[in-house]
Amino acid sequence: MSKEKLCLLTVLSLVSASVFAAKDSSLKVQNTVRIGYDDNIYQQKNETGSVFVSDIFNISGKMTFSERSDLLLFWQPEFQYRFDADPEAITYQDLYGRFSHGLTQNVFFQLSDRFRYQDKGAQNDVVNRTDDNFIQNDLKGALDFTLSKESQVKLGLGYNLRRWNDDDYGQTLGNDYDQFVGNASYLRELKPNKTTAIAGVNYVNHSFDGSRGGYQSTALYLGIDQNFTPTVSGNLRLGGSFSSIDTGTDDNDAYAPYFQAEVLMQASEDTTFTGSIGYSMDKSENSYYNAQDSFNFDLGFQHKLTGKLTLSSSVGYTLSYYDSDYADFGNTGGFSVPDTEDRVFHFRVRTSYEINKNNFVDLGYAFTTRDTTEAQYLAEYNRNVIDLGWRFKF
Amino acid sequence: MKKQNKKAVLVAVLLGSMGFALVNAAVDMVAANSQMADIALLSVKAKSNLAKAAKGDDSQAILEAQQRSAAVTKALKAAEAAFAKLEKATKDADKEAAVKELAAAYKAAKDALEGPLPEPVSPKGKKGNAYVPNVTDTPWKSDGARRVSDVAFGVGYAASGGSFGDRDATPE
Repeated sequence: MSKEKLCLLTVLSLVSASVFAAKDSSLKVQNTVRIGYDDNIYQQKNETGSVFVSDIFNISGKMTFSERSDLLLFWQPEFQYRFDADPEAITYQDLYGRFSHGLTQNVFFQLSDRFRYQDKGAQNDVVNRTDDNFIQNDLKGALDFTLSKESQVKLGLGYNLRRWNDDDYGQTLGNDYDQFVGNASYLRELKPNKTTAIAGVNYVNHSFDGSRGGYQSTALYLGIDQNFTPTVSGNLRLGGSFSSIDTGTDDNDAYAPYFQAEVLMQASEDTTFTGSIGYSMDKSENSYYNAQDSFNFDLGFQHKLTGKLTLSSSVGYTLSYYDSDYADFGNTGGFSVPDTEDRVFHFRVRTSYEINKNNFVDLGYAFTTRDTTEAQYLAEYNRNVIDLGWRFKF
Repeated sequence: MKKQNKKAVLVAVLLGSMGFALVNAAVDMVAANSQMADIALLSVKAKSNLAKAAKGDDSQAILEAQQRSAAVTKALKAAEAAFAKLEKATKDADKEAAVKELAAAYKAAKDALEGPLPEPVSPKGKKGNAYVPNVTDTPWKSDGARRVSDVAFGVGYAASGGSFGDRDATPE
């Protein structure tokens, strides 16, 4: 049985079993058919464009088992056919579940899991192999302890993995990985429903397969959540992360600042702004290195122009810095790679017109550009995608 | 006091007590009937809210309306049980207990409809996309941070038309 069929059966079993067991349940289904043009399907400097047709189906259900327990399930497969690509057909799958349970009045438990399947052929013709794909699973659990009306302790554990179907690419070259995450934080409400202070610690142990290495990182931070007005809220985290990077041949110590800030403004019932800025150390998105420092800046905007027309837009900028001390020497045999920067900017805009309660027409445009300081290691490209879609939900 | 006068006083006291008891009982029943009517109204309102929410797309609002309606129904059942006790009660202590139970049920119904949920299944009422949960959610983050992230995720998802914003696996 193929992975896709197995996945589908698992989803249907989970959803149907949960729906029957639940006291109250609601189920939502949506399907989007889209036709568009992507002028750089492989995200390379030498652009290859193609018309594409895609179908995105999603189904979500929320089941309430008791006043204390509920389960949310979501599944979104996407099928895309690109007329001038090799391979023409690609698939993505996302399965997500979140179980919430109040163990007592003061102890709250949440467990979430996200499973993703993705074809590699969608991204890059340089290292493209037609049978390359990976699965990724991200399991997270948390316990909230309410100590008093003002104080709360949160404990979290996570396990994230990625597996390629090609053993040579995944295991030998070290693109498979395992990541363990631990978190503990103390929250204290300073002003009811207005200001909450937080102190926390994040631990990450990331290891790639083969002789590639990985890294361990401990971030300590202080933060605050603030509701400035009933419609404007935000949060700030400040601290530092102390890391040890295993390059496959050496262990290098590193320090990076840890900084995150987010803001949400619901200017009116019809208008929402979001913004975030941050700096942190993370796993490398590039196989020449094991870790990277990332600076990101994102803005989101949504506005209901009329009762039936909605405009959504997002802008994002990510600067990734790859220190040569973060390099993957295990696979390069000690070959020295330089410090590198990778800058990605995206802009997306989409309008959605509600024909009736169940039918919508979407028109979208996305622009992405990437440049680097070492073009021989990292691809530079520009990409424009435009599409027109019909969305049906019930 | 003469013997006949004593009898007359005794009869008057007895009749007065009975009358007072009857009036008291009638007052209890009138108040109880009034509270039952109020609770029934709250129940109708809760069901009406649920019906309105069900017509919309916000699954969180539907879930909340379901929880509130269920809690009001539970309170209505408790009120009916208390009212039945009150009708059958012969002792004052039993009547008082039934009246208290009825008042508690009324308060529970009112709180269930208008106040915070009795036992929330999520830490705080969160807004989110009706169809797409924040699949990048981190359950150990603070409620405030999760709320901001959820909205940002929803806006980003809508702008991209169905993408979760995952970066390429190895885009070298």
